[in-house]
Amino acid sequence: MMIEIRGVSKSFQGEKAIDGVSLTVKRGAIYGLLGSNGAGKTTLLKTLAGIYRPEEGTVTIGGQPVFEQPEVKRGVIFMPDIPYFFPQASLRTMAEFYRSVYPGWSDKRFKELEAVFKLDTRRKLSRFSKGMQRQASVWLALSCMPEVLIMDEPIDGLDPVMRRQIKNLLFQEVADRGLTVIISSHNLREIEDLCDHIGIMHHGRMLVERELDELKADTHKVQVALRDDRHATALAAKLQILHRETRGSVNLYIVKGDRARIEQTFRVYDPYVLDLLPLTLEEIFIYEMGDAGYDAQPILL
Amino acid sequence: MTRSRFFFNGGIFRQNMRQHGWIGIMYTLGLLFAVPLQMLLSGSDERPPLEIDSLFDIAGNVQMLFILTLPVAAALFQFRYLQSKQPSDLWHSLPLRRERLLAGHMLSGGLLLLVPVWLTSVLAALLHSLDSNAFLYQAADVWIWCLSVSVITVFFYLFGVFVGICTGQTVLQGIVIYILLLLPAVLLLLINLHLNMYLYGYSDNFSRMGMIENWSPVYKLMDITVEPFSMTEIGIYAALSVVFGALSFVLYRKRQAEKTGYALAFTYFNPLFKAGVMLCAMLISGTYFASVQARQPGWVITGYVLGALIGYIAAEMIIRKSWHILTRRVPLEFALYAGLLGLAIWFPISDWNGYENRVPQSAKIEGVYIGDNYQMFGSDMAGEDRQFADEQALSQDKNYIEAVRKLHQAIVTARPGDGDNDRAQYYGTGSHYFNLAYKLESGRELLRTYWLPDAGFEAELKAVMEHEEFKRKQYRVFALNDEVESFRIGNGEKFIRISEPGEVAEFMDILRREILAMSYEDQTGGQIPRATIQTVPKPGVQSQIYYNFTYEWVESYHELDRWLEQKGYADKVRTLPQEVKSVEIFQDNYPGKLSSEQLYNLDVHLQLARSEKRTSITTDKTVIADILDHRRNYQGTNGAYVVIMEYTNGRSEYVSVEEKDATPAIKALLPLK
Repeated sequence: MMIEIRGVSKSFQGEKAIDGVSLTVKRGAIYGLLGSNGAGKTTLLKTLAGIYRPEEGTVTIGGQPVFEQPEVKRGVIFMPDIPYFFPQASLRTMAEFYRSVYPGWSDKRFKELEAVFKLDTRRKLSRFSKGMQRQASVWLALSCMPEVLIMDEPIDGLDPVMRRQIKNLLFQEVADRGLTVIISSHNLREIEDLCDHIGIMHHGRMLVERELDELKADTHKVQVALRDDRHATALAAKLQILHRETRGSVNLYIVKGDRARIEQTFRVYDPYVLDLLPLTLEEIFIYEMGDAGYDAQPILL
Repeated sequence: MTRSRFFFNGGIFRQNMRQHGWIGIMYTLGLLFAVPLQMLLSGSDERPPLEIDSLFDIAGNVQMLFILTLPVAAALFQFRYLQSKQPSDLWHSLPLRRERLLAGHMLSGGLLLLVPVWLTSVLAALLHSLDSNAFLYQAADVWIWCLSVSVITVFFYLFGVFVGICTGQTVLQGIVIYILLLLPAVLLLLINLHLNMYLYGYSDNFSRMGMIENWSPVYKLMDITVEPFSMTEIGIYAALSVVFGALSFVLYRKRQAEKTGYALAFTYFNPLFKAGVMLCAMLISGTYFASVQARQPGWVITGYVLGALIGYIAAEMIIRKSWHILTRRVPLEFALYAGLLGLAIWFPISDWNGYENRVPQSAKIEGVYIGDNYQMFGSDMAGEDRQFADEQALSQDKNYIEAVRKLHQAIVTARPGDGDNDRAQYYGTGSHYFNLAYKLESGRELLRTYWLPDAGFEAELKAVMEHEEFKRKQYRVFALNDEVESFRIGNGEKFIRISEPGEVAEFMDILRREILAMSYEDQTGGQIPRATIQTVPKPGVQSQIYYNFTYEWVESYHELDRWLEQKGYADKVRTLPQEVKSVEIFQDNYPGKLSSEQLYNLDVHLQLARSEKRTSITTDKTVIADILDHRRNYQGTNGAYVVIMEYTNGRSEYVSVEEKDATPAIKALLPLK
């Protein structure tokens, strides 16, 4: 199901929590929503889940508006940042409740997942540890067989093994059923291996949206020692340079474009040294956003 | 999707039962304890079953306790999900429309609360014919109880839900529910007090109709054993339940999920909330200051301003959830609110329609009443007397109407006691409290209430009070009728009964004549009764609500004196000289020398007289007999004799004897001034 958010705004007591945000997520994508605390991620996700009514703009899933539309919401599961279950409930009773509310609920899937999570379904959920509670909510969410899964800061509190397991489950769901996932986080490193798209929010606005594979293939760090300073000017005209700094005789470039073409362009000037290095996602965003006039460090980390 | 599936979701229902089932269990236990269990337990073999008019008579207060609390508790706990972020997110992310969520919760809550009521009713019906049942009631009583409790339970519950949707905090929801349930009655009471204080002659209409408690279901329930719900009330509460239920659906659709934790869920309620809190605080504070510092307008205005300020700050703090409320906008907004509310408070007492000075023209008056007890006549309040209800309060006599009109005119011209809230000084000696009622040609009723001193109104009062119509109402002459079986006469220590039909008729005749013959002075002279006369109704009359009417045997009833003497009853009911141990007497010349507070405090008089060695003690039976014959309440007249009487039973009291009544024996006791 394609998610389309168009120019959505929402304010609380006169302060805009999100301001004209637009966003598109294709079916089967895993979209990572990044931003520091208070950037408006949760508000955006709750609006997407049909909990909040957008003040301006539209939120549609599969072409249908979400708010107060059970037919659409049936395929959407919202997982809050802190797992919440009914008081006194156990996994069994929660499962029974979800079964009665979500027509897509699958007992078969619930049973299958028991093998993955290995939690006691009769035990009170309030006695579970934070990590176990989060596993339980993933278990319940996936058993509803959603088409769209909205996860607000889901990685918090999971051990690495469980984290990988959940990641694999999500990949599997995406591959098998075309599940669309939208995940928020305040830490890029947590989700960079999970997402195929990334959007960065700041102060209620969407700063950048990128497809990761393209981004990784497209941006390069080049260390070069040029023979003549004038070459640098010539290079600037030929390449899309995001960033440049000089460390002694060595110049550091962050350049966008095709790797082979970039290497070729530099070779023309026959530099003393030429190294093309891979960039971490974090570095890419720092340079990209620096280019757009933002200091990315405090926003991402 | 079928209809039943739309309204009823099994998951919501089961979840409610799991989470809130305890409320239903408590309600069941409470009602079972209060009704069927009492039927089984409080009976005993010796005692016959107690006949009751309504099932509310069985441990009504216990019933009340549960009815008042559990439906509200259900609304608070069930709809906690609206006021708390996490459950709110969960419930509102579900693929359920809000109508359906609300309907699901309401149906579950309704069942939780109604099943206990019905279960209790079924048990009460089953126990109805059981021999060992401690109570005797009609099968219809069970139906009425079941209907009443069901309706009021649903009303409390739905009202609680409605308030829950309008507010965003569970604690506030609970407080607001009870405040709003009490508010109509409290506001009426405050407005009444307010008008009473500032509108000269204001007649307190609401309490006259016994209406205050009917304006609040909480008050009503507290008095449930006295008066169960009428069918009209049940109808009203059922209608209100429908209204609040429907409003809940409408407002819930508009409510924003992010309002959890806010004071009010709809910002357009904020001004209303602020104004309401301010109005109540202003009325309470203003009325308080006015009652403490009545004659100082500065204090009274301070009272209202202070009330407004406290109300505004409280409301603002609740709305903003912070005590940091001072912004540039605040003083301006406060001034606006306080100004408008001040106007609203001032307007009704501004006498804009000439309320205070209005005396109807005689041509337009159809009937008139004046006396101290208008509310007893003709209203159908519970617990009131049928004889009063039967008697017409209003009199059509033209002369009487004119006399009353003249008195009224004199009062509104002189305005005695205007602006003076300490009306206690107008009770008792030398003053009158009057309800005044006119029935006008137009069918409207004009009511006024006055406290006035007799001084300055003697002529007008005399014309009114010596009229037969006045005495007939004021001294309940109408109740001296053939429903009286016998009279019980006594002075508190001893009594006799006149029950021989011939004597009863004769006595009643004389008493009626004596009362109707009383002069103005007889009525206002403070005569102390020699004995009181109580009517005892005939057995058939007794089953209805009936007051034992009380009359007095006073000095001015000479014919009655003679009759009682002649029958030999007199000495059996009045205090005799030998029942008095001694008297201490002095001639009082303090009026004019003492402050008004001390004027009626005879202890002060006695001490002064003793210190001046002007008192004299005697045990002389002739003197005592003379005093007993002429004793009155102290009237504050210069030259009257003040007497402290010591009875043989140890009691003592102050009486007084007017100078004109003093016999030579009394005068001889005291040295001449």
